[in-house]
Amino acid sequence: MNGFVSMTDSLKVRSFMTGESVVPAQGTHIPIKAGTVHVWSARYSTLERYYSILSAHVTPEEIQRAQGFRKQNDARQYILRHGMVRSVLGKYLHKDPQKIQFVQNVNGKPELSTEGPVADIRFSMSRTNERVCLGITRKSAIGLDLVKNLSGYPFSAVGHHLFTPGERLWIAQEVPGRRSGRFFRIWALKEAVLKATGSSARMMQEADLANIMTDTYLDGWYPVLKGKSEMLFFIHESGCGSGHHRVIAVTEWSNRTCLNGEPDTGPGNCFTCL
Amino acid sequence: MDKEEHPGVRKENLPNRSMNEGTLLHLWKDILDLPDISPDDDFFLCGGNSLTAIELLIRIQREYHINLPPDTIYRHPTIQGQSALLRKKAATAKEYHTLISPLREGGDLPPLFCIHPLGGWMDHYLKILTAIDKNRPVFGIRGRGLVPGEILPKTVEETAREQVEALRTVQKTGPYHLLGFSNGGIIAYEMACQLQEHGEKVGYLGLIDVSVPATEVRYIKTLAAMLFPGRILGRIPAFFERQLKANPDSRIYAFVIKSIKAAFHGILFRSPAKSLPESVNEIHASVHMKENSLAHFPKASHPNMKVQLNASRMYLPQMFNGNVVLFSTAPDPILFPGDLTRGWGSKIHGRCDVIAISGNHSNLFDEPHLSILKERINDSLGAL
Repeated sequence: MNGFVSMTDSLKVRSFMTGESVVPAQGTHIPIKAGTVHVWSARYSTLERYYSILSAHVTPEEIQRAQGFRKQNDARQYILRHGMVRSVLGKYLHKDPQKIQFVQNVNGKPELSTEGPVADIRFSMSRTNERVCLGITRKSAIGLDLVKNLSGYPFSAVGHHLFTPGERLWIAQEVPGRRSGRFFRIWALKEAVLKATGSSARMMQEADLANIMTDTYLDGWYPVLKGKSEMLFFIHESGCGSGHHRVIAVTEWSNRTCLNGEPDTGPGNCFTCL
Repeated sequence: MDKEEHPGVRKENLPNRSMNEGTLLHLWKDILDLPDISPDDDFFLCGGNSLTAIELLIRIQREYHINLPPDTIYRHPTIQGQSALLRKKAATAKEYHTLISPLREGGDLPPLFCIHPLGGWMDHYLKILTAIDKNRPVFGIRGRGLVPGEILPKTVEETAREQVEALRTVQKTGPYHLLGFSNGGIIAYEMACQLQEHGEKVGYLGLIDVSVPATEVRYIKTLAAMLFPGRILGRIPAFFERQLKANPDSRIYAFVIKSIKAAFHGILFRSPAKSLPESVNEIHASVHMKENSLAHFPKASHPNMKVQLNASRMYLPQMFNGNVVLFSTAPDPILFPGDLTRGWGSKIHGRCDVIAISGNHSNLFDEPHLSILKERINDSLGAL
């Protein structure tokens, strides 16, 4: 049974600004119902205050991965965001953060292992070099993307490479000085949609958002063309300070696809990709 | 899958491992702003993210004239891995004439050959690939001068001759399908004429936003305006235009025009074709053009472009026995007032279909004009 029954259902988005709240008191449990998205967001500068606690939540494998970063700041941010993800998920799963197990889907995206009492909890994390965002829901598939509008980024060339003609046209209709804003909106939307469907960046050109783009932020149910099929997504866009843009995309779990566009039957179960 | 997704690989562009790694290292350093990177470093552990991964991918594609899937950097996150991928593509790539780049291979329809505009690159045509029937292979023909040490032909005729040779290594017999943007349209036109001289058929000749060079008209008008504005000499261009339309095959006309052109080159300019230097480095003083017309191109390419421009200005088109499709952003009221075909109509024994496109010469390959251009090209090729 999915959390969404029809387009008239409204998805509730509840935001949490994380600070002390990401460091759970022992035994804390946060319930979440299907049809609800909880969004946790934090600045690294805030998380830094809890480094000793958050770093205790990560696994030895994650510490080893962090040691591979060339810049010390990147390594520290990796520990902070993984500690935060484990800490917050621990509240929903009622589990010791360090014991939470992740598996990789066929496209290499992390998912919660299906073991445990709340196996239908889904999450998606995104980050910039300033902030981390974590979206959590139940039963449905979720994709979250956080992007910062970077001046000097070659958005025109990238847009030409990855976006559909309709999307490029929508960007071109804006005055030159504001086109990058439209580019980063579409970028974040595409990333969120792809994450929700478990797809890889290879599929980026297939998702066509041209028909749903408006001047105002999207908030509601939208049909998105992906390849030859049309999928229904709940999309919630918002600005979140310092040039950041955040998109949450939620869809039916059955809309997830594998690397080759086949229905995703679970981690490692797709015969096309084996 | 690989063959479809990675067209356009050129063996000459994919040299040995150390050269590849050196080039990739340069691109990585530029994007990641890290001074010290080794070939086995992971892009994402060096501070890369999804935005910079795509930026790197595009830079690699431009460097090697290659198409790669968007998730390439995720699948090959190290310089070693990327270099190996490029070498693998090189090993499986077909050998082509040095001027030929396969932009998309495979398909049963006759190939479309896209001739380089000023500068010699073929980037513009990558933008219209998706509009062309997937069953039609598309090849780019680049200009000389992009590889260090290459000598540029000094005339359009020489350029076209070499490019016809290159084209025939891919397709031995006609009908040939040619498309040229701007200066590439002039070369495509001359190629079409030369192919006909060889007894070959030209099935399609598409010219994108280009007028007949009309050197003679330009020169006569310039001199007439200088000497006798509004008087008898001012009417000469119109007189010759009428003569041309009335009797386009006239050898006398061709002789007169050639004489005028030669005379004007001698009088007005100190750089007739015969005196063009062999090396492009020596060309600076010999070219009579406005520097600012090249201002939006990379400076390093200016010498080559000047030679190509000079060649086009010296070019006297011969008659073409066939149809031309002209994609035009606007008429050319200065050189060809009242002539929507921008001079081409009077150069051919056939039909000149003028297809209006939006934008101007510098932005017609950008959205929103690009979509319209692609649609028009697709319609035009589909009507064959």
